[in-house]
Amino acid sequence: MTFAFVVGRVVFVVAVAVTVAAVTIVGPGRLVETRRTFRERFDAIVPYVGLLAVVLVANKVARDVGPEVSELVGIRITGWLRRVDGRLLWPLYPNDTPQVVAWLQSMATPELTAYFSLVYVYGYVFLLVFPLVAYVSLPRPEPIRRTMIAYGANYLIGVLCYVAFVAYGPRNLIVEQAEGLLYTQYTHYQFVTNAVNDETNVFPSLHTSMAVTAALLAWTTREEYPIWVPISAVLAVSVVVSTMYLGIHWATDVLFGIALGWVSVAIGRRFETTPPTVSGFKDRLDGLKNAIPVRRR
Amino acid sequence: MVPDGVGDRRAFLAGATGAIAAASGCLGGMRNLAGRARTDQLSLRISTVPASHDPYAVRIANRLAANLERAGIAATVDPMSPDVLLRETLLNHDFDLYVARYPSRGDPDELRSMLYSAYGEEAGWQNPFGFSDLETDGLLDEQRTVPDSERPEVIGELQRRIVRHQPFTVVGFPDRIGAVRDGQFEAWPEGGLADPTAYLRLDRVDGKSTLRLSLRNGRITRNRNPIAAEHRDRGALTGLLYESLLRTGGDPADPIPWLARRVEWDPEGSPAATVRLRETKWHDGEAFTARDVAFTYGFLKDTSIGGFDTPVPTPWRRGRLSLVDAVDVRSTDELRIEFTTENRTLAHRALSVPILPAHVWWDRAGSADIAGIDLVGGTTEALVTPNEAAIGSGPLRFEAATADESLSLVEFPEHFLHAGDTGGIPDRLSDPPRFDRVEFDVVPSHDAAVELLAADEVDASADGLGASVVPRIVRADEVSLATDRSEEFYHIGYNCRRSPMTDPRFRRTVARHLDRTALTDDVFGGYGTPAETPLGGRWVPAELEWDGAARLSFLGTEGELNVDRARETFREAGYQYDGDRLVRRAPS
Repeated sequence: MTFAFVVGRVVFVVAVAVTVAAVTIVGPGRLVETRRTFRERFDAIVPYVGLLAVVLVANKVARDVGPEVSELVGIRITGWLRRVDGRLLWPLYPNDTPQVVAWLQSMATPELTAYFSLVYVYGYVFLLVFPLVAYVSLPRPEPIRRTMIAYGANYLIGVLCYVAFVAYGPRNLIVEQAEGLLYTQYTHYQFVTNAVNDETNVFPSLHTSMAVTAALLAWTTREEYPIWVPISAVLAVSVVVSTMYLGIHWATDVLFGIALGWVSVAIGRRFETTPPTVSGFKDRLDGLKNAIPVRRR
Repeated sequence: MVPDGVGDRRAFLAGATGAIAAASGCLGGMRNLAGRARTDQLSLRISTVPASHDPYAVRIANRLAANLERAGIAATVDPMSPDVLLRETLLNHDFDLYVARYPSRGDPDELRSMLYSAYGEEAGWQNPFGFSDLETDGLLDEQRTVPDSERPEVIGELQRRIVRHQPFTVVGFPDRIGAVRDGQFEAWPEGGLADPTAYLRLDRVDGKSTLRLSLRNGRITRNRNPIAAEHRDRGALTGLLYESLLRTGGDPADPIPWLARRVEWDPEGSPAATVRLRETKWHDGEAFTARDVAFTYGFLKDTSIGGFDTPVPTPWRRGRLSLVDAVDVRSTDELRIEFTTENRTLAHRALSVPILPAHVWWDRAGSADIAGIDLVGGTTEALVTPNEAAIGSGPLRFEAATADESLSLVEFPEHFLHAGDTGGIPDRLSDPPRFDRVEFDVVPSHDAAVELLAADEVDASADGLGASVVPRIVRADEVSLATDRSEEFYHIGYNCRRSPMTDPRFRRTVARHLDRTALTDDVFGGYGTPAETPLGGRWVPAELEWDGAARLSFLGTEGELNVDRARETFREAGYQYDGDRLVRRAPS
């Protein structure tokens, strides 16, 4: 019941937020136009929708099977993450360098905890869902295609990393210095986060990479939605900080998450005009083969 | 330039040889130097489980790592999920140090399983440290043969030896913290539902017939094999499904006859007994007979039933099996069991291993393979089967499970408790359970367990909770705290097969990096007692009783390590420093 209730509330709040944003940012004109030309627009993105569905199914399988495989073949890197995190603030504190997460939490207040908890759950979902609505409402299909490819790339690369690396977040290791604030203060969210992800899926931070992706995509559509650029930027930065503030991710996860977000957008732009296909992939592979000089007799 | 073709290659080789020959003059001195191994800083991995599974272990590991780090050792805490930790330590013996809770029941004979040299090569809950010491072996054997009155003395000597040699370092005994909901069920035992008999003691207040419990460790939802070492520690939940001849609820000298209706001892001096069985059924409807009991004792000693060159004993409850010498079936409900000890308290221990249905487990004696390929060798199907159907004989029967989410057990109406065959069983246990199903809900953390309790979604927590959630338990309406002393202790395990853990001086020095008083205050939040010995009560010799300081005393004061003293102690033990790093010759 707790689980259904929490999920219901997230869905409701995000639906309201997306509706409000759609009316104010996208505007009634675009929405009406989208409704009218829905079929054509849908046709323009069909191959991409299929691709995203494949990725999401693969991801679901990987998240169920992944942790088990990961337990057997994955490299345990928690110790390394802790070590690297402990050095990142060296320029600020050369003598007694604190852990990034502990440093952030040293500034914690109940208000900040509430803000970051809300952003981590609601803000994040909104940040990902709204672009889909906003970009479907644009007459040119590239932004929505780019978005779907970029989201898919995030998931795919993220899941591969989760299988390859086994890592636990700060809340599971440096418990004296960092608290799993979201889960001790707003425990009910843990039923949801636990259902969508495994606690060893920490490196890299998908929250970060997806948020960064959404913000970078906002920049690519700044002509159409200028107001979405600052909103998404503030939300993305808040999500990124929240992952560390709440003790869920190491700063190193976040750095790699930012890189992944950037790479994903690059991949999205690369394939926004032609969807990646199996034959296309084969062609490129053949091209690669031909590029390597092979001595023939 | 890359030499291409045969001629070029020859020329290249000739040139290279010439160059080496020209330089050979200074080679002698270089070899003397380069032939010596480099020195490297000693680095150690401390394996443990993440805080969401065990908030205590990771804190102890962090403290130890921080103190070793200050003493010049590169120590890394390596968290892994509980079954991976058990697999790496118990089965693969791949660890340097680990921090974990030992699922002790306070029985001195457990030390034999933990430390007996001959078990060092086996995979399972027996001697994971690879510790071997002839004197210790002697004492472990002796405590099995001496009369009860002399046992405390032998055990005392054993504990002294453990403190001296430190095959593992005891940190302390945490209390068992349970949380229960008032109103629907009553007669909750202190500490909550610590073992199977606690479930039977529950009383229901109103007409509610489902007992709802939260569960932190969801391994039972994936694996219900009662002898799988990496998934069992106390076996509290598999103990609801599988039963033993005797149940030891509390006093081991006075066990409850369970599947055995009566145990008749041969006259004094002869270590044998005749066991009469109760009439009951397996969960699949087959009758429970003496053949199942005889099969179980044979099977647990060698799960390959003679099929392999080397016997493959059970990796769980191995020590208890070694107390049984022979089992003879007299009739369908009568057996004669000969023991390797005359001590009846110990023999009771042998009679409390889970009895398995022969018709299910007989087929699991074959070699375990993946798609027909035997990858590991020396492993039987019985040790690796997830045993999903879990056909046992307990008062509760397995009904359904979703991996890492939930488990349902339902009442088994053909159990002997329903037939009123309860002779010898104390009153409060002799009634059938007061609920007709138990629903376990796997929760992601101890906080989440309390959240469900407060929201009236569960009646109790099935496993013990961490001290950090005590304030939440106390704050929640209609939820009470149920704490109890526990025999389980936290310990640092050393892999005595690996250098420098092979060296008792090294282990003794590492042990002195722990401040038990500070640890029990900070880590157990006051819910626990520090200790230096694995057994408490009458088994502790007077000089080892906890009096505020350990025999191997902390190298510092009030939790703060004295770095100079720590390094001095390592130096005295023969270790060398390069600057502030403890260095060893790098293995070539």
